Amino acid sequence: MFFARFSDAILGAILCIGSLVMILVIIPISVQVPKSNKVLALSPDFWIKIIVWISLALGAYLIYSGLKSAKEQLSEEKIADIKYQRTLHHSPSRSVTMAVIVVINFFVYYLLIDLLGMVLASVIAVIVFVLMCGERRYKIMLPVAMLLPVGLYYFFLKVASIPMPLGIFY
Amino acid sequence: MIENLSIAFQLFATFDNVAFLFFGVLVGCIVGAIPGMTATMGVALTLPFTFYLPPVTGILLLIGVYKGGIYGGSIPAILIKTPGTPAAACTVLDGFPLAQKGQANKALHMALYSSCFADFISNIALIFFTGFIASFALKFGPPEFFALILFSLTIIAGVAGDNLARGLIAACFGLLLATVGLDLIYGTERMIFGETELMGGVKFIPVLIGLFALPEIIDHFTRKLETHKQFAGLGHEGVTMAEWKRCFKSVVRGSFIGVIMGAIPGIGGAPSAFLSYSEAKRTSPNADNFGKGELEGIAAAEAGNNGVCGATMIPLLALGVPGDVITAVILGAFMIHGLQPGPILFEQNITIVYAIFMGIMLSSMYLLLVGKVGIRFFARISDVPNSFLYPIVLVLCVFGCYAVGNTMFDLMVMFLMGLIGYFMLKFNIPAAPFLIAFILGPLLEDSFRQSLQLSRGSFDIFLRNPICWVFLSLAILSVVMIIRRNIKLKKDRGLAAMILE
Amino acid sequence: MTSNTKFMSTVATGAAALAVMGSVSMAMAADYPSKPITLVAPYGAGGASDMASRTMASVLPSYLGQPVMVVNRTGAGGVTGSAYVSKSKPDGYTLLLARIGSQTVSPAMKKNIPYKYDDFTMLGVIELNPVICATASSKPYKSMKEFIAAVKANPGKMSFSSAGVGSMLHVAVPLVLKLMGVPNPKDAMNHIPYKGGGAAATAAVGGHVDLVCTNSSALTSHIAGGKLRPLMITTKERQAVAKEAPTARELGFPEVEVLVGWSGIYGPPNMDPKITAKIRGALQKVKKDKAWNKFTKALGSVPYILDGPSTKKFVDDQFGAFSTLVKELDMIIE
Repeated sequence: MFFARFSDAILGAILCIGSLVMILVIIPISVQVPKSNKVLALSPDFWIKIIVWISLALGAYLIYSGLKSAKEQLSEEKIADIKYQRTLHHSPSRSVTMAVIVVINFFVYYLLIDLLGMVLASVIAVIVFVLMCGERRYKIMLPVAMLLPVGLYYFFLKVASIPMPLGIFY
Repeated sequence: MIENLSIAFQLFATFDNVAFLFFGVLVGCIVGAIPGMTATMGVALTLPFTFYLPPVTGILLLIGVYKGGIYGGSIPAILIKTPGTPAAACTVLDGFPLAQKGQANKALHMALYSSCFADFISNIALIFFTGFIASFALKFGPPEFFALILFSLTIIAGVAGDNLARGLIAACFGLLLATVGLDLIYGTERMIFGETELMGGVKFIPVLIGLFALPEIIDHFTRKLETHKQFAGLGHEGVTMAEWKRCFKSVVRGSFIGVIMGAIPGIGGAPSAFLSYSEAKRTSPNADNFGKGELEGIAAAEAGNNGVCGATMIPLLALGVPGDVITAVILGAFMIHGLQPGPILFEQNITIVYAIFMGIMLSSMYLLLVGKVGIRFFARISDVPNSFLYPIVLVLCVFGCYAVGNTMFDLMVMFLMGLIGYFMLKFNIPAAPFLIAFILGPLLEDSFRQSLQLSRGSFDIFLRNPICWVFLSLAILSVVMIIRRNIKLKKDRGLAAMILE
Repeated sequence: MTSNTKFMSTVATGAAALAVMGSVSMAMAADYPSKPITLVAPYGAGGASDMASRTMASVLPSYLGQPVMVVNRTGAGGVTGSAYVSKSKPDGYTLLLARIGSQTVSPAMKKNIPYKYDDFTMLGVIELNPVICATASSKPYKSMKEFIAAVKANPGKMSFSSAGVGSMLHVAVPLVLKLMGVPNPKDAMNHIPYKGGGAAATAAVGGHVDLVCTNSSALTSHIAGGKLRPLMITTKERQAVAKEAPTARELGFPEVEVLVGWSGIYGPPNMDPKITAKIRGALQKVKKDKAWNKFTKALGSVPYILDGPSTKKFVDDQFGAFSTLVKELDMIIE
């Protein structure tokens, strides 16, 4: 329940830190302002600064209201919702681990596309993700994993005239 | 007139025209239904085939693909939470919750009916009000545009769900991400970090797919295996007459919003769908149910985006001004055949214009037909077990995303957006305001700076004519209403808390 | 366990099959082209460059013997797609639809882009796009002379639209103003950048800006429809699409003729001479292709296929003129 109770405050803190980093570091180094600019509102960093200041204010508001409401009891509705979500999901730590694994797999998939090309990488990706879903029906899995990427590859190449990268097989 | 019409009818009523138009609608639906393949791509890819067709046939083929594509986008939006085309992003909000409740069939039919109806209204507007609407649309210079977009941005509050602060946070993210790229006025770098691919800004399709489809996939893997139950099923319920009547007002309103937004060059389907949605929510007696699977929400969103389809042809035919990328491609098809859209087309080739109008009317009917059959076909998705569905969707997203931009960089953007989207999901930050801000942000900033550039820094230009006044007042009015509603909400909550104590 | 080994062997077979597929497509310069060619269009669908690439791609296969696939890699006024081709393998399978904006104007103006104007193999110019300067019919200027007089009388008050910083439209107006003797040509008119040439033309049609100088193809329908008044065209002779527009030469400013849009086919630097010869040969055959000539003319462009050396000279001259101009006018972006 800790996360549910303090999620506003945590989000507010992240937002404030992010905004400050933007204002102090990222905008000065990565947004070029030409010297010839005379009108403040026409400056390339004008909008960016406004947006960041608004998000800083939102962050501050969330910290304030989040800490205030954290003292109160969570409403019954909310507790019921959290309990319902718990029945669906793994325990919080396991959920985080799974999410991290999935995201790492995404980026491995990306690297494999660069290396092995779209088709082979997708074959591997389908197999890995289907296995991760707990599926063990190889007789369905393997044909799907083979036919889907190859089919899509030829669809894009022949019908849409869009070549997909083939990595080292190019 | 009668003579022209009969010549036009002869020009139109050939087997080729009727067949190619049907083929176009069919191809459009399929292309639109594949995540990442947009209606724009479909039209661009069909273009070379029209080079060797007679002008009317070729143009009808493109129009078919266009209309089919915009509708087709709603199918994966409802079934797998992945808008097939940007304009369908709004359909996700209520379409996917309905599908989860096992009412996908109802949702798909509602999307189809409201799309066809809005399409029809849009066609009528195209045929009868072209001259009038076109001259109005041309009055939109940078300051008028700024006022309109500012007003449109207030719809963020409408789609933010029950937490306005979080909606605004999402909007800030979207606005910020949209500022990446070369500066419009000075050509200087903004948050590019030496990456050539970022010079043109962050592209729309990877953001769209990353934000909507991937978080759902990540979240799926954090669920317990035993809850990986079969897809909720399509359901057999169609749309009842009573439901259609209930939503009818929103459909009509959405159609007109679509017509107006479509006729103004440079806005397109997505903002129109969101505006129609937020207006429906504001006035509906079921406002609280919006975002949780409200049929009226789908009706409004789809009416809003398909209402644009006929209307974008208004500035194209009347003035030769393409309102978006799709009509720019259609303009190319006209020119390849030696036709010049604009007043001159109406003077010299009125029969061709009439023949196209006839085809456009027919396309609405085809859309209904193809959609009806298509829903049955796409219903098969419900037979696919979740353990296969999610990996397949992932691969589809990857192929589609690559195909639009032809660069690995877009895939990286898509995966990163998926990660950000997952954080947003976990922190209850709604994705829709992010998307609206990402679409409208550049339009707002560009028109703001173009205006100031025109006036050399004087702010008077924003009040230069009644159009500005109207939209700025509407924007202020919306903000006041949002604030009042939130104060009232707070009071109600406070009261409820007191009673409980 | 058995199912696992079966699964591994299936994967291995699949991988081997794909590897064979891949190696077959390895190509040598002698039998070029042995697989489909990708033509990168650096601007979005529907624009002049997209149309030029799709018309070229629809006829080129009959002379090269392989399909030509158009791929839009858009962004930053054509820079993203151009940079990609400039860094691609010079095997002849990745070509660029070169444009005046991304290949001469941007390299002359922007120091922050990742290629120079000659970081390519210039295979051939394929078409010219006459540039027309036009104003809305609702504006009072009946001729270029009246327009220039108005600019001189109201320095900094009038405006022109462009397709963005570093586009051809952006340098066109200062160039015209300078050659016509307007003092301080860079700031004499207000530059209003839009995203893309279509939006820039629309702004002029709506009368939101006073002048636009762009490809005739973007303006002819508005001129024919009476919404725009053409003030000048930069070709040597008057063109049928805008008969009433006097040429720059007639107005006494033949130097303005350097301002002519074009499309060309480029490849990555250091291509094999055998491959370039094949592509250039095919382009010379396209020159006589009836369908291509018809399409190109219908789009308002002038078919103009140049061989290798003439292309180099054409591009060098134009780049030279533009880089001198932007240096003189202090329009360079670091």
